[in-house]
Amino acid sequence: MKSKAKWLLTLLLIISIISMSVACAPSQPASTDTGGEKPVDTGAPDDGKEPVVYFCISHMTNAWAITASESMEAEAKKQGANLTVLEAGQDINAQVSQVEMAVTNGADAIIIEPVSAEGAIAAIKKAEQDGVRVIVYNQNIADPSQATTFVGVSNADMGYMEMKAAIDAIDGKGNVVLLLGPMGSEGQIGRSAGYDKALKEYPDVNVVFQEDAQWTTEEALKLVENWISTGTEINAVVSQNDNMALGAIKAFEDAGIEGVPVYGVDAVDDALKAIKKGRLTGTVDQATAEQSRLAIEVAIKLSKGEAVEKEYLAEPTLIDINNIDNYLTE
Amino acid sequence: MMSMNEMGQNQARKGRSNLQALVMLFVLIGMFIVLSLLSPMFSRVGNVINIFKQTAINGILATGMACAILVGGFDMSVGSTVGLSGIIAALMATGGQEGLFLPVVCSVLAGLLVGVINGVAVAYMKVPAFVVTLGTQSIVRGLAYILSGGRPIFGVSESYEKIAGGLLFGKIPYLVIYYIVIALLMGFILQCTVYGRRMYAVGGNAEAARVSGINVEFIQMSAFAICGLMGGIAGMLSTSRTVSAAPLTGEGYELDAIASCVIGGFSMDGGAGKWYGMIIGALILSVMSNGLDILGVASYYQRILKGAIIIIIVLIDVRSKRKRT
Repeated sequence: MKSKAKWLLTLLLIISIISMSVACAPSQPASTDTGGEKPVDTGAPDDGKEPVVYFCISHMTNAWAITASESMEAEAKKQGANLTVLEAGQDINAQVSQVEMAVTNGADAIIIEPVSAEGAIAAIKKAEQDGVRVIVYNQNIADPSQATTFVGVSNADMGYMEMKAAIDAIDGKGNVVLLLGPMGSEGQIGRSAGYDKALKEYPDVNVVFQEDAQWTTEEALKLVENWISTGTEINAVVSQNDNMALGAIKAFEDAGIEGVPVYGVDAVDDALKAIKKGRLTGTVDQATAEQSRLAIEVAIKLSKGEAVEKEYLAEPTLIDINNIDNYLTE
Repeated sequence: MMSMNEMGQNQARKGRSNLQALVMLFVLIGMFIVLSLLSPMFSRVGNVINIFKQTAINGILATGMACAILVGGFDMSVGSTVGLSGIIAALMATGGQEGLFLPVVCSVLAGLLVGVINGVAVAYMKVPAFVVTLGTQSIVRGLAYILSGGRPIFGVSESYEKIAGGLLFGKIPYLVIYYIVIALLMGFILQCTVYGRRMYAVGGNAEAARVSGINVEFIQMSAFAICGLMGGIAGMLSTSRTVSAAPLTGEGYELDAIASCVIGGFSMDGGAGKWYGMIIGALILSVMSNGLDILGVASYYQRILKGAIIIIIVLIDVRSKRKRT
């Protein structure tokens, strides 16, 4: 009897959780933006059979990852590829088995955004040995020679572009603070390298504070509040993503300080809106939709046995008040 | 009946945690003096307000966590609850929705619901608190991802931003006021009400409490419900403070809340801890983080310091326990 009651309660618990999620579901915002281009169904290619492409993405838990998978699906439809998206939930073991599964399921090409630069190598090597061509997407692996090609954008170029814009905004001299991604992540290493390159050209620009804000708004908000507290003059904020840049903006607004230029990276929707409102000064677009277009194009080429290059880089763009209207679709 | 030995142990536990809260008060004052000497900016009014702003969210979570710890449990899900309720609030306060009633009530109720589920499973179904709340931690985080579609949500309405960001007398953020009110209210409940005393009794010795006619299960369940409720409130306020919500928001907050209680003298065995301990504990954590930020110490060292302080305090706890037996 007692165990029956226990099961009943468990059931009740599960039902209440599910009903909770269902009850709240209608308030979910429609997520239909596919990174600019509208998907167009062009039907099957000439030979009547679409190449089978697997896209192994590391996770689907932030704005960038969702843009990446949506634009990839849109491109597959447009260019004519049979695409399956597999998400690894940041678990390298899951990703390795997904790559193996793609191989056994007869993939013509695998596009992989690796969970870890080291951990994905073995699986990629194995797939290549089994005759499946692998395209590494957005984040490169530690040993790029193991995969057929890399499609992405140079983080160093983006960092350089962002820092250069910030330096121009303060006329080549002054104090800047840096909000960094988690130390050792590829985005952080590359973007910081770009920062250093730009800073070397301008010896009158000093980095007065720099800290890891874990890509999050709340951590950046706290850090910038504390930096403002020190009384050190801050002339510009250079942040490695938009979420953190928006935290910095809030800290200045709360402290009643105006006119400090703040730059971010990613060009997420709300960063674009913030630029339009004049709150955020600029952001660097990593051209995710363009990366997806390139990845699918290369995948189709590979499935036809055509030769491809070792690396394809999409061109980053700086978005600020001058060109914002080209990016805001509303 | 409580044996003489057990009664003695309980008395000792309470005495020790009162002493620890006092010692920690001196540690806090000492930290404040040392940091003021190291940086003249530290003790400025503006920065002290900063410290309280940065304490508020964790402090509110700590008041809830204190209840769960008092009845002999703890709640690993409360960080996820912050994420979920923050997302719910953001969904209802963005895109031109100016009303405050819906986002505030729905996000706080979502927290309460998670707390009640935890409480029912722990108190009535006798599942260990760690297991239950580890499970709900994952479930609730998943819900936050589903509701937000995985994206952070920005652009909450100006009226919603004012909830935490508005200023009293043009100086003190409402966020700080909420924290002080909630902490004092919880102090009153724990110290001066029958309900509060029963929480201590249940955590101290559940069997003895049952014999003396206390509804042990209800007290346990309600303590977890309060903890969830505080998670809901914290999430609602976090969305207002950062003018945004991300599905990841609040990850790891449960550990800071537990740490605040432990530092403040709450015994992980339950039944012992002074209400002001949880405030002192939360303040110690944020004074440390704020002071080290101002001194320019990298956050990686801050993590090590925080961990070391927690271990040292628990070490003292364990050592003094051993002496008694």
